[in-house]
Amino acid sequence: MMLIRPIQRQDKQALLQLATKTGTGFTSLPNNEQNITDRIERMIATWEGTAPLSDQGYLFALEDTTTKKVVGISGVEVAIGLNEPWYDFHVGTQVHASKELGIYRQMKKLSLSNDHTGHSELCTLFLDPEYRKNKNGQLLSKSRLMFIAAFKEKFSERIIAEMRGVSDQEGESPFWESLGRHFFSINFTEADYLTGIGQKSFIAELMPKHAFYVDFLTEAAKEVIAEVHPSTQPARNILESEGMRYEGYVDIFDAGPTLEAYTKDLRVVRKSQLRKIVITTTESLAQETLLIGNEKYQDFRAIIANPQINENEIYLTQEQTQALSVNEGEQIRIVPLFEKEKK
Amino acid sequence: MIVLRPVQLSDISHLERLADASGPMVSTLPAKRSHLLAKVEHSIHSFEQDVCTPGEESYLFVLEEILTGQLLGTGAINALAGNREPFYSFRNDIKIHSSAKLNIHSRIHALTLNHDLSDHSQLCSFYISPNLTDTFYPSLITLGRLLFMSVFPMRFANDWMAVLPGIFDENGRAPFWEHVGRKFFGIDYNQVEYYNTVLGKTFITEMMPYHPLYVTLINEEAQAVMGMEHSEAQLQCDLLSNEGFEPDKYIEIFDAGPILTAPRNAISLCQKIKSVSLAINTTHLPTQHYLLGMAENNSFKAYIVEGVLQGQQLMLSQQNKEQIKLSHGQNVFCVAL
Repeated sequence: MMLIRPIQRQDKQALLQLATKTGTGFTSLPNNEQNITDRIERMIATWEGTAPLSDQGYLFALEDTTTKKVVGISGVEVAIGLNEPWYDFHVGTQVHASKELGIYRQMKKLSLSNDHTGHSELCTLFLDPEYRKNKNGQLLSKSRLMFIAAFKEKFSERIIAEMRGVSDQEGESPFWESLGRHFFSINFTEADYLTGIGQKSFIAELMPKHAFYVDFLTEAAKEVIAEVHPSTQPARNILESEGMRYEGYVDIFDAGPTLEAYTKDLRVVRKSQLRKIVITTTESLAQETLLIGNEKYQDFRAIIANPQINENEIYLTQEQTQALSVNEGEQIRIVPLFEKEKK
Repeated sequence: MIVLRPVQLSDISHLERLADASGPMVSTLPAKRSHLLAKVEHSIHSFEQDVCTPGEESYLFVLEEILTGQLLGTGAINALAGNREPFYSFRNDIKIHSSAKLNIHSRIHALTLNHDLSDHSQLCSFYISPNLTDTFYPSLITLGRLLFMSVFPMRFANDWMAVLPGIFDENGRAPFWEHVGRKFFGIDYNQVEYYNTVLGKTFITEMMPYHPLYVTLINEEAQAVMGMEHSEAQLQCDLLSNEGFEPDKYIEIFDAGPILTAPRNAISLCQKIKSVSLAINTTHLPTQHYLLGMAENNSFKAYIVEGVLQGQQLMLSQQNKEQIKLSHGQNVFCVAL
């Protein structure tokens, strides 16, 4: 069984191993031991209630219960941009028009913004390539939303997710080549790494402070604005099906889109319901796949399964209740894994 | 004998021919009769006015072959480059982008649309017949105007400037326009230059970028011509540079031609002006060329003469003196060339 649980100190080695598999453009899990240790400690402090708002964040591990191996991680930051500025580009429109000349033109422009300051952020989603099957990606991404649904008051009313932008196999980003490279002499991979270890604001100090017109970028750069890396398309699809939208903000380095939503509008937040647990020995599968999460803040667990349910109850096996760390008679949160069941 | 004198209504037909010949090199000399007429009338009115502080005046001079009455060149001055409307240019600013942490310190250039030069007096509409480019007469047009400006300081600002045509080819393709202006206007360079001659500046406000343009993001072909003058403007550029005009951080907004500026005090001609009286040269001393300027009744004429300067007297040949119809003892301004 695949299980979502809070990250623990002993997961460090597993995270380091995962970090070697991520590749360019995955900024929030840099292959840097100190950084990973700090990250885990910061998450634990959040769960223990000792972290200030600006440091709060949650990181979840996807564990294969048969091998006890951590094969994926996903995270949520509670309030971004409070320690150091959070930057992105706003994609705006400027109309240049002259009645005298009979000309009307719309120009796209990008301007540096801190508009997402204080928002919560879905981040750090990574799944071991060997496990990219059996809806593991869905579980990994959406279980965070179950946690948010259960503990709404811990999060901001707005939530975003930055999607990895387009870069090639050598780690070159057309957007970076057309823009960032002119402003300072390091390559995208390096900028990307510095970002991951928390140096993004130093880099942003060097970025264009004035709005600039998209028409001055290369064709290759224009084409990738708000486009995701092909390997990130599934992640984008998942978040969009959960109610997140591109609203005209992109990453300052690779122009990957920022997806946004009001937290209360997320499908899981709106649609998830509580059921009372009944333990069953005869597992009879229902048609609908459910995302199931417990209501325990410190010991959050989530799985996917196809249990029988009725208006008040859910029928879980012993194995499932153990994995979810719950007992018969307790309340548990459920939501259909998909908005509409896939055929 | 050739004279630089204020334009008259009777010059219109000749002027039209010159404006036609000057083509896109002189955008401030429109080849359209109604616009030319307005320009001439405005100039006549400007000369007639008693001015104590520069405003909307514009002075148009023509170069005339006295004997034949043929016009050979033009040169104008706008008392203020931007009087009722702003004078726009791009200012090439330097922004320092610095990060101590990353050990990076870069100087980023950005072009900002501005109207800083609106309060400068502007030399414009310079044109000389191609067969006279190797003579003294281009100097007569330019230095003659500078002399006029020096003699009537109340009519002009303390800072002067001139826009030189930038790089464009015979097909009217200007690299800077192609990679910058066209993005905003979607029209040809010739077209925008025409609009610029005949329309007000409102369209510039509406169409040109509000945000600074990072030079590093501009196509290299366009970057390469920023501040470069057209080869045919070389003569004019040399004349102004010799007098102390310098290219600063301003360039023209459509073709990126250089804008030369100078404070009045930095102009060498202004230091060398002498007020002298005229006499007939009876000596055999070696003669020298002088720019000679004569102000009377709100008018101004300038000549290039050969003569001998002795004390407060400029001595000319009898023939010269008759040609320019000056009387003995009349006070004039002169500058040794």
